[in-house]
Amino acid sequence: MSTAPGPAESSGDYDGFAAERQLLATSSYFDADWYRERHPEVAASGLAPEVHYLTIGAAKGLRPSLHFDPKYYRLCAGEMASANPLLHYLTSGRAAGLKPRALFNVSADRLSPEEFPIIDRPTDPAAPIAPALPPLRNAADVETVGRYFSRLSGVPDSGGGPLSAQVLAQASQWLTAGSCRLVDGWYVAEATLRLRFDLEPAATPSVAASTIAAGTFEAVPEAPTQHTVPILSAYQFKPDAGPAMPRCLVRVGRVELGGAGVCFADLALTNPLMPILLVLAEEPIDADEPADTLAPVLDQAGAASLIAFPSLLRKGLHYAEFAASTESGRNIANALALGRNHLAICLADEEKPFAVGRVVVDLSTATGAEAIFSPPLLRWLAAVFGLAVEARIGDEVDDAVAEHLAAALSVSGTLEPARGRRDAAGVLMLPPQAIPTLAALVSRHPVEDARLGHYLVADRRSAMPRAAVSVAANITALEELQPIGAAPLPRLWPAGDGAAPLRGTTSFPLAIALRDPAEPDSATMLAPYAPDAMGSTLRTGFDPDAIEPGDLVVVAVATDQDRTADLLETLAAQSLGDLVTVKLVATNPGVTDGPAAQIAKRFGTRLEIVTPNPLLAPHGLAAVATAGGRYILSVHDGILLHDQRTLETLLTLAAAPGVGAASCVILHEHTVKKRRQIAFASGGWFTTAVALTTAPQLVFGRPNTLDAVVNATYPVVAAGPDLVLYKAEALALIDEITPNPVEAAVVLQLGLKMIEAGYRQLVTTAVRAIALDEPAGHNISDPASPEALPLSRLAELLDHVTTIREVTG
Amino acid sequence: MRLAIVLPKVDVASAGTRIRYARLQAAFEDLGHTLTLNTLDDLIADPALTDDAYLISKIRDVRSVVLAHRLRAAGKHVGIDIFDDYYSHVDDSRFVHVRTWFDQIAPLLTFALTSTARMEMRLERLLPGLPRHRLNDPFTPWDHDSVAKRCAAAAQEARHSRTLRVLWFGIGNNPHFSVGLSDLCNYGHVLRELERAPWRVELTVLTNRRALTADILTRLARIGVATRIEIWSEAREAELLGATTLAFLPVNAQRFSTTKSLNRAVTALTAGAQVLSVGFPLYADLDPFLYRDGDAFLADLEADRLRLREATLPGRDAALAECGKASTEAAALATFFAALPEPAPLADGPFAVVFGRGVKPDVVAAVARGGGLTVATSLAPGKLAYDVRVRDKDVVLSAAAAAALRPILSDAPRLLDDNSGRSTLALTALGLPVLRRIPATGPHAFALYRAEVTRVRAVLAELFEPSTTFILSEQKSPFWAGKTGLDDLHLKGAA
Repeated sequence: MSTAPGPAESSGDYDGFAAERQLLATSSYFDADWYRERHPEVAASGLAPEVHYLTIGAAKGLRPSLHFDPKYYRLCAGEMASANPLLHYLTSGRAAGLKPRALFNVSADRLSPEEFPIIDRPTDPAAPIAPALPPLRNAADVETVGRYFSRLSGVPDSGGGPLSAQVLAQASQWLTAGSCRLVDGWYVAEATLRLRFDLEPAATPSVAASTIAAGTFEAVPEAPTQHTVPILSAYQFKPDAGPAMPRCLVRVGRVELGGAGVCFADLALTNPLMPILLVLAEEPIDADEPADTLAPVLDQAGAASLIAFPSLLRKGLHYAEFAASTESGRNIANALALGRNHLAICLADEEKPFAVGRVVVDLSTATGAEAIFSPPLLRWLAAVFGLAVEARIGDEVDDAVAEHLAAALSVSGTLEPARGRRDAAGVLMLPPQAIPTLAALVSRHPVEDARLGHYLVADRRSAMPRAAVSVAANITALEELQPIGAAPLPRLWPAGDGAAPLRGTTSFPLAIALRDPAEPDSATMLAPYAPDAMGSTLRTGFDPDAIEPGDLVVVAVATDQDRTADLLETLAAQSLGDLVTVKLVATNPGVTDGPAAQIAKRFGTRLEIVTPNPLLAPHGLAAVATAGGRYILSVHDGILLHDQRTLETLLTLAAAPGVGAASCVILHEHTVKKRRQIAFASGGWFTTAVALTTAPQLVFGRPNTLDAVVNATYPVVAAGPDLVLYKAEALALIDEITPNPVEAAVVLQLGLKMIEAGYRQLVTTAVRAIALDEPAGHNISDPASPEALPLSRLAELLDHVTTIREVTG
Repeated sequence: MRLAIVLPKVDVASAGTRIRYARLQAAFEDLGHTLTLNTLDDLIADPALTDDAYLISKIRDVRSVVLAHRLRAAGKHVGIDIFDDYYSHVDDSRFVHVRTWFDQIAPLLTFALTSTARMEMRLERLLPGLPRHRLNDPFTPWDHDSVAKRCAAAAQEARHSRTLRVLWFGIGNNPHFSVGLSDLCNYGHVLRELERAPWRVELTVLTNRRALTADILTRLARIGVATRIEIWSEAREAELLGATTLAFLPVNAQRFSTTKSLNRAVTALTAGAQVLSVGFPLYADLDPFLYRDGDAFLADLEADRLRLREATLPGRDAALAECGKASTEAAALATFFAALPEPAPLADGPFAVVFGRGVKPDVVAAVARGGGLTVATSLAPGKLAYDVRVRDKDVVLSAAAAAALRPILSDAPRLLDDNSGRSTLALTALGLPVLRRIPATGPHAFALYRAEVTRVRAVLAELFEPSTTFILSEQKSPFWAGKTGLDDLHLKGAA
């Protein structure tokens, strides 16, 4: 497109370019305003934009518009296009099938914003560049989509028979499979959804072959030389528009889908979570003013589709849920399909109660700024699911704050639950940083037992996914071993007083925890519980009567004098330092001399130097197994215990019924240039990637997503080997293990044996130790060999441990 | 009454200081009293100490403890001005040093000031029985007529242009808490909901440069209203408040935020700006003059009956007078001081400050000027002229430290450096074993700090008289020395 020259611009003596100028003026691939704005030299030259481009800009490779990329075109077209690529395209390149810019294949599995063209003026969608598409019309499908839209938005159903998800899917095919297909969508702002359409001009009505075959579309005949540009409009019901209008229909966006190329539509949503109705029509639909009924829109619509749960799209609040649900194919078509699946469950079979009848938020660590308090989310829950969020107030919450937070959860106005779905259903309890997943909200699985829930972790700032955490199913009595003050894990209770014991976990994620990506302070990383606020770190306080002299034996592998001295120093400083018996496994001569000897004197007769048995595996576990005592701590001198409560915390865990071993999070500090960073390693092993469709390729390693590991105590496959406290009776199982020179293999086998025998191994974040050496490689291939863990037992193993899986966008 | 405000060196000219103390000064002096602004450096070595009461403001390190010690020994009133609640987060690892400081200075205080009722309630728990007073930040006087005109003009302009010029102003970040611009982003949906036909929102963010991190800028962009960012200055704040339709003040409900002062709302209202405050009702005392709901604001704007308008200004004046009229605050403060009992004298005596992690050189220098001995652990900043440095095999002493040794050690063999005047005393001469060198950085610093402090204490106990008071100073997390107090004259917390 071009505009008239500005007052200072000159066309100069360029009549020789008249034809070329006319060509540019009528082409949307040359945008005079954009060209002038983008390249300041144009205004400085005093030339009209098209003249500048013809005489100077093209040769310099300046881009003439958003839609034409000269560099890309030159690569494709070669030398022929070097002089003036745009003119070449307009005169011959287009006819030859050359593309004006790189149009990526958006059906590829992994989409990322980097794959899409840079948008300079996103509020100016591309103008139609050529007349193109004839409209389509199928009244029945439009009505079906409209009914789904209304029902999901909380508008009472006016009847018309049962809804069919299959029909909805078919009716929506034009959106992702037609010649003006939706290829991507993402939130550019919290309430602005950008949709990208790829347009292909067609001389004949463009419909999917299958729909033609099914005879479900009726092509409206048009004059062969004339095409109308279809107009896409988007609508949302806005719940609670005020006392006079409990709900109103608002148009949130409109774009003309004409010509060929890329077209963007920015939808200014009234609510970023409410369903969106997309309507295609020949004429602009007269609905500038909010209306309380959908009929006028549907009457004028040629085709309609529904984005049932737009928050599943990229950077939406539920995108993490979509990303975690699939390893590939994170494209918009799959996101829309997932939304339709949820919709089908949500709106079908209303006699079967929902799993979630109430949502309760624990306020103990809430600030009111979390997503669960945001009115758009609360209104959406009320309108779509008939849910109100309630508050659970603990004693530690200030009265005024509690009153404010509880009030903040109430939805204002005339909004009322749209459905009577919540009569005999479960209670979803959430920490304040979490929001419920769609899977939880639409689920109709009966809730008979209280269950902990899997959850997802996403970045609060961008809503991009980070990890999926699957909590162990076998969790009896784990609650009492959780750190004090830790935000509760999401859980689902049967209807009632919430006192039922926890049994197992849900089969789907219950919540998305939105984490602030801020760097943790070194103080909170190393000592999550303030060292001057001494007390138990776990809900179950340490029982000093539970241990007597000789019960607790520390087997410390000594490799270096100074390190050994340091380790002994920190052992002596433990709150249980006076009760421990130490067995130093001296791997080198003289390692226990010098400074180590000086500190060893503090232990008096409670310290014994042990020479490792060369006939046994050359590592500490051999000594551990024969150490005596009721609880045995295995540690080496590359570890420091800086929290005085480390031993008592591990002892509290190991002493619990059914626990065979306990460890804690281990941190390693390293310096990167001038900054000091703390790397995180778990004291236990998780499965970080599991492929269930092929051989059981278990990959054991440490979680590489720090913020996915909430402040909690969780069961692992194997605790240690850097620092682990064994219960002697569980440790006795080591005799049943095949000898292996690799300590890691022995520890892993011991872990599996313990699980088999009914023991759990726990790792807690309540206390943290420090590793002087960088942790071993991240992923450790399964050293136990497939024979040690048949596929049939894999599911059983996963039931016993917490797994953390990275989920990327 | 002669009141001396004691400030850190750089704070004399800060906005906070001007708002709180400088505005009070004239009114206080009108009552026949004096109020002076002083830096700690001026006072810590000053033998004169001529004022009656000293209010320590924003000096949460050992310097203020040393000064407080001297002031109490001189029979003066000593108080602290508490703005933010870092003290009741007893389980927060980041504030060990602040709690330690609080425990050290608490026994030396004769009064405390706060700026909000909620903080006053917290102080009752933290310092039970200590006389305390709520001193509201005094506001600047305003011209009634010009404010009335400004209110009307702003509303008229908004109705005419259908544009809501919204202003967020203030310090945008805090090193420890998500406040400021983070609140603006978290409550951004309120601004989006204001932007409905026919209204358009234009947001101006006036804040400090340091707050404008990439993260915050990304989040600001996602709010979804037209936004402009400017760097804060007092003049620009006044200018924008005079032109804005609405000042937007969101507040979250974390403990730190709920004790903040009413300052920002008062500043906005005295400038004649409408105020929309969402989140925690921090400004509840001013409720009749501000909005908690965007819909109510728009309705009132359309109907030309905004809460802040000429007809309501007298009521606003009365409400604000309760929140900080300078003459009222000055009179109340004078009355408070007049009622204080005479401070009990404290015995003066030798003291030493033991420096741990993260201490700044000017703190060390200030302690030395204040007459205390400075002792370095292995974690203290190096290359400073400490009076005592405990090393693995010996102790290096300054002339002052050597003079303070126990008499029994006066004949102990020492190596004297004629150039520096320092001497070195072997640990074996004290009957103490050679110590291990503990690395000052890395994980050992975290894990072995307690042992290090214990060793240093053992050495100090051998070197100096039992009447010497030891104060532990550390400013950087993590901390493992626990609490220390002056009352029992020994380092506490170390095993």
